[in-house]
Amino acid sequence: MLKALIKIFQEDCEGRKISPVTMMLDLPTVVMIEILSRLTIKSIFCCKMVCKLWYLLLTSDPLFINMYHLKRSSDFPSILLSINESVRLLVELKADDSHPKAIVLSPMFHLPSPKFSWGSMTLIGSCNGFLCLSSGRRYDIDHRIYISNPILGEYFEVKLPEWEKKIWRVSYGFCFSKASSQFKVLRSVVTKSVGSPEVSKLEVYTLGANEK
Amino acid sequence: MMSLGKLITLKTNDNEEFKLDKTVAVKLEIIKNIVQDVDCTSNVIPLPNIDGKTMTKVVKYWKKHSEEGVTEVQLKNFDQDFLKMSHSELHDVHLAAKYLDDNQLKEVIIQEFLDRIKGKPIEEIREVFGIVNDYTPEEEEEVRRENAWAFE
Repeated sequence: MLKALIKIFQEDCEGRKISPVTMMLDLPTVVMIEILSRLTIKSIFCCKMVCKLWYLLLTSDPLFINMYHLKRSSDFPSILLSINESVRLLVELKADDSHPKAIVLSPMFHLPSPKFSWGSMTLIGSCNGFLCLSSGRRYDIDHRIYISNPILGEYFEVKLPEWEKKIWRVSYGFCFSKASSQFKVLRSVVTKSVGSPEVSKLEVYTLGANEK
Repeated sequence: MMSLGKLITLKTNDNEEFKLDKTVAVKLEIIKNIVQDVDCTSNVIPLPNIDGKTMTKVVKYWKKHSEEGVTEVQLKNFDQDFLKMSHSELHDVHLAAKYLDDNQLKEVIIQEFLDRIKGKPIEEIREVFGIVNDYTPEEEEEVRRENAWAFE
């Protein structure tokens, strides 16, 4: 669908000798993006219906994606809460514009389904509009950690070291480093071997770099 | 260097002139830069991208917001009234604010756009931005299906 749309759109523009930028009341795409990036997630999905240009802006324009995440980190607390594990609905929290100190619960939205099988999914944390999820229970040997960008319905797995037998407890955290502009997954591991005391270790995984 | 007169004149692309107190005008990055950098012999600053009708609105906004002793409530009421304009006028003021690098006014306009499209049916959103629906009915149906949950 998307590819077909892009093709049609490019042909349209070439044929009419107009650039997408001049299509709407001379309102530059940048401005559109600035407005659209402040919408709630549900409205963003609705707005794909408006026209083909918007569909493209909202699904594949890197500027929109950046702006969207920027807005979520500065204007919105952007906390996403899992409210019902079995149907996987999330609630987006955002600042209430009319009451600067209040927070409103904007409409629930469905978490887009990933390509892999769900199993039981729990929310570890969210920041800047990204989600960190864990599939399977934390104490299961084969649980996995995923990072999701719900606006694009993308998921990718965080590569973790192999499960060691001596692992006793494990917990996770998810955060964003402003200094490096990178997302980090924190993994706290407590290991215990027979006859020796517990050892705690905090591991930091920087996303995209596979570093500890 | 421009002479340090108290008034600055802004001239729009349709030759309308606006006399502004310098203390108001230099609050804006772009005016400040012109005042500092350009060696003009007159106090007239041309604004080739803005027409008189739009500039009237912008100046009205500036004047109110730099009024001495104006209260928050008064400003809020003023803004509410100020924003009662057609979609295309709103676009014009936004472009002017962008050109003049007036972040405060830009922010106000963007918020107004948001309020005009928030929770509105698709048809109304198209109207606000003067967008013509370029989907075929089949494509429209497909996109609707793709994002069905958002319309619940």
